[in-house]
Amino acid sequence: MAIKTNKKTSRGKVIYESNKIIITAEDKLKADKEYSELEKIINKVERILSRQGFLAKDAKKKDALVVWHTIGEELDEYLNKKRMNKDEEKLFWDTLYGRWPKIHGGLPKFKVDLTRNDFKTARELAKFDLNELKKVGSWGLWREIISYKRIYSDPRIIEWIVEELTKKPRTRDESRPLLKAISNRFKKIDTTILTKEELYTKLSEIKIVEEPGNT
Amino acid sequence: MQTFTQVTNQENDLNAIERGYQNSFPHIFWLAEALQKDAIQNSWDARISKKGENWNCRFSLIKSDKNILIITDKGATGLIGNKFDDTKEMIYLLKSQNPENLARFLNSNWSGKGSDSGGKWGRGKNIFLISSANREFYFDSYRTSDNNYVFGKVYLDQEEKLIKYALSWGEEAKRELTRLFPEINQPESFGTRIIIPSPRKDLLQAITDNRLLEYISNTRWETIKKFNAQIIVFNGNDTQRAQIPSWYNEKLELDKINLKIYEPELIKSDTELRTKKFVLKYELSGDIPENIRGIAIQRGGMTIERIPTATLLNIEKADNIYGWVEMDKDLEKEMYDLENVEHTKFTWQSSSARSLKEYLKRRIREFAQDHKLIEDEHKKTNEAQKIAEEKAIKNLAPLFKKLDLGKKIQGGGGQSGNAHKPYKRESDSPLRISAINFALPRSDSQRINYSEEVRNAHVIPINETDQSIVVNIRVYIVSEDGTFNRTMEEKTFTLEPGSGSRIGLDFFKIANNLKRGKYFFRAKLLCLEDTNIKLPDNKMLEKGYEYDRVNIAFYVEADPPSNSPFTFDEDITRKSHRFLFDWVQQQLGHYIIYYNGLHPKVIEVKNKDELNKNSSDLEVFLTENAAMIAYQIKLQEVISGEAEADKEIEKIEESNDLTKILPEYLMANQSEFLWDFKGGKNGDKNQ
Repeated sequence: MAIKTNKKTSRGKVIYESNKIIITAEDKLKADKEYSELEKIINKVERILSRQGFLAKDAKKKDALVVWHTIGEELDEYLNKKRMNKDEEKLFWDTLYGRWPKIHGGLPKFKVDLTRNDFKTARELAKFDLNELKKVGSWGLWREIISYKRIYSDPRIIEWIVEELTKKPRTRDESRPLLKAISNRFKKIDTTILTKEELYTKLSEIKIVEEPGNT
Repeated sequence: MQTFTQVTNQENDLNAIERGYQNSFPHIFWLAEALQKDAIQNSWDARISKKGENWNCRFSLIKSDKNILIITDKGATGLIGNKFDDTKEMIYLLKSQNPENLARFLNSNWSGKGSDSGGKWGRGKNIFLISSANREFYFDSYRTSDNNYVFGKVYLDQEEKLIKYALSWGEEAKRELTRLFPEINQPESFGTRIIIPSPRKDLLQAITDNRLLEYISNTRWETIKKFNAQIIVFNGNDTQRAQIPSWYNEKLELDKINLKIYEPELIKSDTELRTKKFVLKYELSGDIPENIRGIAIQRGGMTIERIPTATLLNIEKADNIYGWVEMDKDLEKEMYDLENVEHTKFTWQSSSARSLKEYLKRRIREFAQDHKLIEDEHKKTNEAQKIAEEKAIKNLAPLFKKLDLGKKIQGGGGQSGNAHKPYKRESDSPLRISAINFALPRSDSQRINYSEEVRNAHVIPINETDQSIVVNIRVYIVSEDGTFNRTMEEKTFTLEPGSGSRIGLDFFKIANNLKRGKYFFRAKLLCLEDTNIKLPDNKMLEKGYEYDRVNIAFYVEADPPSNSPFTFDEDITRKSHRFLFDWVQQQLGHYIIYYNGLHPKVIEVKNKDELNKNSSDLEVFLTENAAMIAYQIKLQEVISGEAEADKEIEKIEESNDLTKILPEYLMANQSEFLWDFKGGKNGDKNQ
């Protein structure tokens, strides 16, 4: 499949991206259709959030976690219907920046790494209940959690962190040593072959080294 | 002040157009070939159904005292567009973007057609005037736009030397047709007829001896094949339908041996221009009809030009290779702008055309290699020669920099970055895998060709602890784009202390159907149990521990990207007196410079080196000649618009004197380079 981007060629032609060698007219039509479908979702989300007072006109967010969670839920629903493969999804995340001006002004200067892609993070978070997320912490904290590849690649680790931070709430900065320790602990470990019990045991045994300045 | 409109002698114009056609179709039946090309193209462009359903085009010769050729299309829109009453109104219509086919048909240089159609500049209808001995033709058209019927005459006024036309509509038009051509019926369906009274003798002969039919088949086979298009010729005695030439059915459709079809490919990595299909066929016997030889460049469903294969690859059996290339919409659009008005040739100097030609050259070379028409240049074993080539590249480095050559190379780094080298294992990791014996056919290159073998494509598990450990090891090959991923072996077992047995394959052959490009040989070890063994980083060797650092890149039927704009390769397969150097752009900004190992000059240089037991003569020879090639490539890039002209080229351009290119650009610059190269840097080269 092809994805319509918001980039244009020097001749003003819309750029479509795909992993296929050739993008046919049919692919482009389909991409256009999907683009407008997504556009509707974007408008709907923006409308709801603005009405509820979570979004100001200058893209400032009253509660970023609520905003991103709402976006994540919509994207999750959209993507579940689309069934993109990994490569296509990668393209999709790249093309989202610049299309939600009320949420995210302008294109990022550099290509956003998948672990830092706000939209992708939002979708991951949509798998959790908003109230649960709120108990853990802010959008900033969640963004931090999802940015660790080792944590992000095993959803059971995220679940454990949710439990841990619900029991013992911490700010983003306070949580960083724990997150770093987990990431470091599993640096050369493929955790997906561990049972939940084994994984949780290893997680609970992690010793946290406090960073200087964090008390 | 009184204003006049400039008066042109249109008879002279017509003669010039005729000469243009004659030059483009250099044979005595040029008129028949040109006529069918333009007539069918106009008709096909006017088809009602995009897929050509219910469309047909018929050439009928009515023999009588006065012979008449009628070209009729059906399932076409007819000459649609607004009616006009005076010149002012007509010019207004011609300027509009609407499909004013009637107005454009009757006038010159106002064609509104795009690249998806075949017509160009509205000059095609001149061929109808040229086809008549009297410089006249009639037309009638039943139009879909208004259900109206129009009849008209176009002729050269011999007195005033102007092309004129007259037309009438509706009932009056029908009466005119019957009055002038009582033997021709009124049209029953939408479409247009061109009526050419007194066709010229050579045209008549081409129709009666079925040459016209042959020209149609050879030009239009793609349209006939894809759309089952009906193009019919009545030669005065028999009616025959143009068929796909037999060579297509018999040689290409049925005999899949020696046939290669390249799917859509980018012709150049920094553009979006793609081919749609490139078909190559090798005919062992060399028995290929004259008119299908070479590589046909197809546009808009017709063959525009056939490039002799020998000009793309100068080898002895080049003519045994033939085929065609179809282009995608964007590339067709670019090439359309470079096409001559007779639809017979492209201007190949411009950037897109040059890239297409380079693409064809690359693929034909590969194809020839596949069929053993060219020896694989990479089998070269002469170390001294290799050293000479490398040194020559080094000598040329300042020149490359000066000329900005090689700036466009993408993904360079080849030998220095991802070069194949024995895997450097982590000596302090007690549980690991080693692929130290992995071997490609050439020790100095990551390239591997079809049918060649990768040897020792296995890993050896190593357990330097004193305990048995349960592990899982997977050995696999994956392509860079991830579309190919094949496990060679996967095993779960207890690894005893020491080295385990090999996992993977002792060798495997590169299959001919494997996509060309970059691949990785990878292996991953997973520890499946917790242990009390400490790793060097003080972590425990535990369940889930993975070791995945075996990752060796290799290139199937492709060279690793190079940082240098030139690579030398000796070619010992072409015994052509006219070949000393030749070059192909292998990837964006990177050229392979082939030199003829059979040329007496090269033999002489190599013999000298052999006698002296060094490689300096070849090094100097390559350096000196490649310097001029570098300037030639720069010149090509400037002409094609890929590079900016420097002052010297600008000066030659301004002088409009091509004879200056060799002495004042190529030779002068080569001389300057050699001055520096030979140590004259400190001398005064201006003296």
